[in-house]
Amino acid sequence: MMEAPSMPGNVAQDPYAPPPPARERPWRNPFPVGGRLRRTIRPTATSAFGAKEENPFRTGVDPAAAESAAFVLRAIWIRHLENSMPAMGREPTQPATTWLQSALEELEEIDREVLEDGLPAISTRTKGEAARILRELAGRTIPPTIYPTDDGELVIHFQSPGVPAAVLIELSNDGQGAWFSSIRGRNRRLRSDDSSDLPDAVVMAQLEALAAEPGA
Amino acid sequence: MMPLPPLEALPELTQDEQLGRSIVGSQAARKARTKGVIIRNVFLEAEGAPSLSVDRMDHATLNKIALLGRKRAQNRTPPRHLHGWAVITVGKAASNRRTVEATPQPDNIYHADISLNIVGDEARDQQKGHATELAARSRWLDLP
Repeated sequence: MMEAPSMPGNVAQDPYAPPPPARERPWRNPFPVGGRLRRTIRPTATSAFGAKEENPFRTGVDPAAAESAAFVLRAIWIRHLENSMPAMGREPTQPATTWLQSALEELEEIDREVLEDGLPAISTRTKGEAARILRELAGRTIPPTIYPTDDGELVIHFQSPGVPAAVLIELSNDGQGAWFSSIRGRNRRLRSDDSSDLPDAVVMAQLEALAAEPGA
Repeated sequence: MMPLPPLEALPELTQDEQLGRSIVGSQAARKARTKGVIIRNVFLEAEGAPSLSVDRMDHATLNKIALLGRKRAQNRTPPRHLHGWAVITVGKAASNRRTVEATPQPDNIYHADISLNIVGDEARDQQKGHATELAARSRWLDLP
């Protein structure tokens, strides 16, 4: 009787055994480096060699670094699979991201609104900053409305109709940026000399709180 | 012009009384109508202005308040048009250190002021903070 072929580190397998049912078959890991390291090198290093002895099987590859690299590759692979999957089963529309297009269209209207109400002009740079912030926030909070002010600023105003709370991001032609929030009667604000600092972590937290308000 | 009641005829302010801030900017009216949002500009006066003018909406017909508002808008430089109001209660207008006082005028018995009572530095940003809150807590009211 022939001996069943064996694989290092694994138990002998019966070549005639029926394959496991499809549902029970584990998902093949395309990057099993970390798994092998965990099963083989680490136990060897800890069991066969003392703490201060040199491991002759270590050839310059740090197991922790290899594991980390495998983790990154696995994440890239999963993202690739997600992106290449058909859109079946997904929501037909994603409101959180679709407001970007209408917000950018509203931003394009700002010069007309400036003329209409006789307000100071908004610079191209300021409008560019607004577009950058809108792209960064798209899908992360409620839809905004955009308008120019009497002081020559551009405001990105986040508020749901009927909800008495708002977060405003204000961009000035001199490059400054600020945000103002009013949620549950508490007012907060922060000004920055450089609008590229926005949106910062605090205003993101304010926007999350705003989106969590009842009715938002 | 309809006659106005005597100055002393209006009762004391109450917390639930409605105050109307005239909306004379076309974009502010459009955003209120189409998006249901009162923009901050409505409650932001010029830098250094200590208070905001409002009308006491509960003591006259909307037509009468609109007549006064149209006249006031026409007298601005440049002349503007009244599109509607941002309405807020006295209680909400008088929070966060603000105060509300009835300030009747010879041509507008319904006039009141929301005082911002700003102290300390960054006065303009404080003004903007108050305007943000007042706008967020008010609601749109169209012309009759």
